[in-house]
Amino acid sequence: LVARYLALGYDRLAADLVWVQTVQYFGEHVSAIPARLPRLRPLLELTVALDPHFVEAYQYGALFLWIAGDRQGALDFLQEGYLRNPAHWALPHDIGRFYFLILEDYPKALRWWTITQKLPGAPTYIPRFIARLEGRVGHRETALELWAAILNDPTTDEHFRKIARQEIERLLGSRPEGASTP
Amino acid sequence: VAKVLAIALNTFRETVRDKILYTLLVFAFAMIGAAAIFVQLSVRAEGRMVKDLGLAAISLIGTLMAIFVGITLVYKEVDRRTIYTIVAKPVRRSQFILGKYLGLLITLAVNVAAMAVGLLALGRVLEGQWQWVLLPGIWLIYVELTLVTALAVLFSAFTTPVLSATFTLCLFVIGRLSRDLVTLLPKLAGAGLRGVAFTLYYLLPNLQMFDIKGQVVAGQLPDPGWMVGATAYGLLYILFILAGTTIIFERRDFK
Repeated sequence: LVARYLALGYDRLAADLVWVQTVQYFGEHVSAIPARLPRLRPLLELTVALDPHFVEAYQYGALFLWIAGDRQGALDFLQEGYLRNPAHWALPHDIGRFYFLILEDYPKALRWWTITQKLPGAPTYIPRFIARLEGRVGHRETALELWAAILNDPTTDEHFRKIARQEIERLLGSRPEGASTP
Repeated sequence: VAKVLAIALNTFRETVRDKILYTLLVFAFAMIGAAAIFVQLSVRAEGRMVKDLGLAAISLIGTLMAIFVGITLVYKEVDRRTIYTIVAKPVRRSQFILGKYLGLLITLAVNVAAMAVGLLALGRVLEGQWQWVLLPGIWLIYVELTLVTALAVLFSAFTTPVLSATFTLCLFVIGRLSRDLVTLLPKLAGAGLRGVAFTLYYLLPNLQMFDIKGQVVAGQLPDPGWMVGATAYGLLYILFILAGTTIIFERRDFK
């Protein structure tokens, strides 16, 4: 709050300058990892305190934290960004990716990508991710419906139609699981 | 009107000869140009940085121009005693104040336009397209500058340049924080102080009205109602200040 007052309305510019400093700090110390980067978190906090809508700072700040070995910190930082910017698709998208790739928690990845899909500007590949994840977490019928919708969508290009057909065949070939439909 | 315009054009010619104006303009272009360097040091926020830095340069340097040229506008005439030759002519003091003020507004408009062209050109080079969406933001920066100029001219009518600069700068800071302060004060103080805070909030200029930088940098066109409202607010406030300046100046004895 004090930093925002001191910025006198130039808080976005101040956030940009602190962000440049954060990037430089990370760049200078990245080779020292797994050594601690004590200034990384305070610099990131200052950046987003000055501009709570600095989406790129949340996205790349979380990446820096993860590379620096702070997995929980990275996830918390992304979630803090989402709470402050609930209408921006990039943050729930990155949280979903974090759960999928790093924590391998597929139900949570599915939950976050479902949120992403509802937001304006969300990437067109999100429905495919969701369809695949529905199959992976055992929601076979839902996955089949989603893949069918992708296949029947006239805007889907031939490459993804082929993927949709393969996924449908794979799902039809697999055994229906107990709690298949959510 | 002819007399006001004559004074305005004369003031414009006078202010464009002011060296401080060129120094500040060089700083503004240096700041806008620095954006091209900063983008190399950042990650994924390049477009935003160029626009943030450019708009901040226009606002910051424009404010310094408004203050440093505005505070000497009337004072110089009195100090050099050229005011005697003007008040001896059939020119009302209100016309003199208005002419001086409009002259400085023309100077500011030329400078803001030059900085805006610089910013748009840099955006075109770095991002490959003209960022016309920034224009509403630049317009409201200009309206804010006209209000700051009116404050500087007000103080210039009755005190020294140093005090004028101090007072104008204080009001600029308060104006930039007024909305934040009004949300903070009720939490800290009792009912009496709360009343004072709200009265001050409505009396002092609310410069945050003119800040839509975040919105235009994000590529969003502002609400036309907001643009009209903020411009009308600025205009009304300026009329109020200029009326005050004229009253003070009318009462001054130049003997």
